[in-house]
Amino acid sequence: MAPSNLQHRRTHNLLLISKLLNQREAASPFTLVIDSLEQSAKPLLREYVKRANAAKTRVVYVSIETLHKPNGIEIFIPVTDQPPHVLQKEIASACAPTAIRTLLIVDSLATLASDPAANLPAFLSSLITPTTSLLAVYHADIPLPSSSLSPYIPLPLTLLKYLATTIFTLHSFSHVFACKAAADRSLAEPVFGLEEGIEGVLVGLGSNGPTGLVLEMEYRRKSGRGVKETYFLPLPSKLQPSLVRTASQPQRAVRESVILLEDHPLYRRDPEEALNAEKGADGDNVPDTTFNLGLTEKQRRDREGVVLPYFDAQVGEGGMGGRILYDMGAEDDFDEEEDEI
Amino acid sequence: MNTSRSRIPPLLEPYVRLPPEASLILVTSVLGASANWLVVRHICGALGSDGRKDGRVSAEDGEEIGPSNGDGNRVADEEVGVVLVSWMRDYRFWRAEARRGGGLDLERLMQQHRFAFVDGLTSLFSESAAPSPIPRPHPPASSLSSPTSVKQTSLPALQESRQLPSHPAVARPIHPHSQSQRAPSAPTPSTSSPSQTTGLSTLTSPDLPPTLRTIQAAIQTLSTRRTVLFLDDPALLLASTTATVQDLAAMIRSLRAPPNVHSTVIVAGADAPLLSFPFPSSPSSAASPLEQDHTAFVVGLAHQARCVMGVRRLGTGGARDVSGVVRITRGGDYIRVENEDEDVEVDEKELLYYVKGDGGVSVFERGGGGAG
Repeated sequence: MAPSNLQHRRTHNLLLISKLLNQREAASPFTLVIDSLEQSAKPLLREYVKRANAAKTRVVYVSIETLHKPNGIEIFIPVTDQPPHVLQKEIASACAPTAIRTLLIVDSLATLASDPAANLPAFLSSLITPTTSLLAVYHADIPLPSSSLSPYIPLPLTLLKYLATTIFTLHSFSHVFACKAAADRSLAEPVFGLEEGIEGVLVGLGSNGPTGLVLEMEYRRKSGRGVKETYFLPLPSKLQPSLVRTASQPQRAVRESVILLEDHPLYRRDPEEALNAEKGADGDNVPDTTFNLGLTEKQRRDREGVVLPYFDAQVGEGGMGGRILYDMGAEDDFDEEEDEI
Repeated sequence: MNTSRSRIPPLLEPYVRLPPEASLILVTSVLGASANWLVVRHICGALGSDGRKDGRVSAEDGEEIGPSNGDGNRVADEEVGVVLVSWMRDYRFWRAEARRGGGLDLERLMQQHRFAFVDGLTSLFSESAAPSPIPRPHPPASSLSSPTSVKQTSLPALQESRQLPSHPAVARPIHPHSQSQRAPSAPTPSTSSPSQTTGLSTLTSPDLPPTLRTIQAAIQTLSTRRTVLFLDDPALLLASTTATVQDLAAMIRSLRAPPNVHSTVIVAGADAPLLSFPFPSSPSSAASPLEQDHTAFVVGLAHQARCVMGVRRLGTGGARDVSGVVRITRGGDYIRVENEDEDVEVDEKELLYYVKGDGGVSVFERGGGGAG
């Protein structure tokens, strides 16, 4: 792939993810986040809330899993056991003044999806208004009770994927990196968590890493065309938050944090190497070392100028034996009395 | 409490100390590797947190720097109570285990109103009357619960199997946790009958509303402002009753919700026969409803948990000096706490452990050779 192509894609897709995370211009009315035990959606939700607060967007949080109100949430609706239509009314009244831009977060759709009476697609679409965008999390690794599944209707996740305007599938960075490292060596990709198949293992090592997470985005344009990209979302480390807060433009700082996964320092090496290898094939074919094996033009000329001893021995009185052939250089200190040639 | 703290293996110490508020710790176990020792260490860690080491109270002035509950008297703040609800074991087992493994005197803690036990095993299906927190009513099959040391080796298993006919609608599989590391030297029921203490209540119905009420009442009996709630395998209710995963999850949420419940430790089985993976993509697939429910329940808890501690057997087979492996991973609700000290972070780790004959446990790294 040509570098300009990559550059173009990078610019375009970074703008897109920034637009999506900041919920600018109602970029995505329904964002579906598919997470698993390997990578939870909670850090992404916090990132969304942080950016919504910076943009003065109201955040309504429908909590099915979260016990206490997280920071930055304006309205917190804990779901206990109210039936779906009551919940729907509650949410609608919370989002009521429709003039205000609202980000509605549902932290787990699993409970609603397993309730056949909930009619999840209708429930969710009723929540979306022109000023309200919905961000909903679906845990992909929770099986639905078989009683709620009908052979004649598609699975809830299929419906949700069909409805969503943006789908984020989350992966743990260390797992993605491990899979890539294995693929680079043509090894079988490792599996984590329940897939490991070890009895008693629920969560794989490296899950929910504190440094960042991998976002696999699928964004549907209005035309229906899909844009797919993989990003790396770094999480605030222990030192950075203070830096960000003291900086005068915290918003700028967060906006630039997301990068393409290919641009991550640990991940990047491969495309460059591939690029080098391509260059090497039609170029000098110089092996990749830490020191320079090439020659400058002057070094090359000097080397060609060197007369090797046996050439000199062949001209004139060659074969006399015992003679020292030596050309005096500027650095030689010649003593007339002692030295003789 | 220094004695209880010293019983905690040093490598395990950061994980069993009092976690941040409102957090959930999921402990999973399998048939060959029981997690009871770990539960006892968690109880020790919660009771022994003297404010100095729990990462929430600064060392100099004892002032609480946690997010809430800033008011109130400080002495009560520093004391943490424990409510242990066990559907798998009876009180005698836990009392013996706590004394042997953790050096805790549960009787004394109960008298101090710092510990309460809810017995979900001995008379769960007796369905006698309205659930009452009357301490230890003897189940109908009274010969089984009669305090003779002979029965101790297989008492829970026997009781479970004997109580099945009282609930004929359920085909409950033999739960893997009946196997135990029960010590042969467990003391016989003591002369001081537990019925005189107030911290002992019994679940007499597997239905969720009375269960919720009983546990909440047990929490109320404690004098401490912060309580750590231990649920020893509530998944039993999934297997033995008609309760759905959602009902049970809702009950656990209501248990965790009150502000005086500081954190929760839930033990659940993660045996392969109980977990269905890969998931069925169609309803007609082979996974049984119990598998699906159990998976949904445990995975759902792991999503809410701050930390998942999975106890399993050694992958390379049995060993004389290793009992099993404990894998500590960050759960779905792991939040990197930014403005507190490093103590509260969860570093994922895989450690080996060895339960000694005297109830002590050593925990060590792979290749560390029991030095811990």
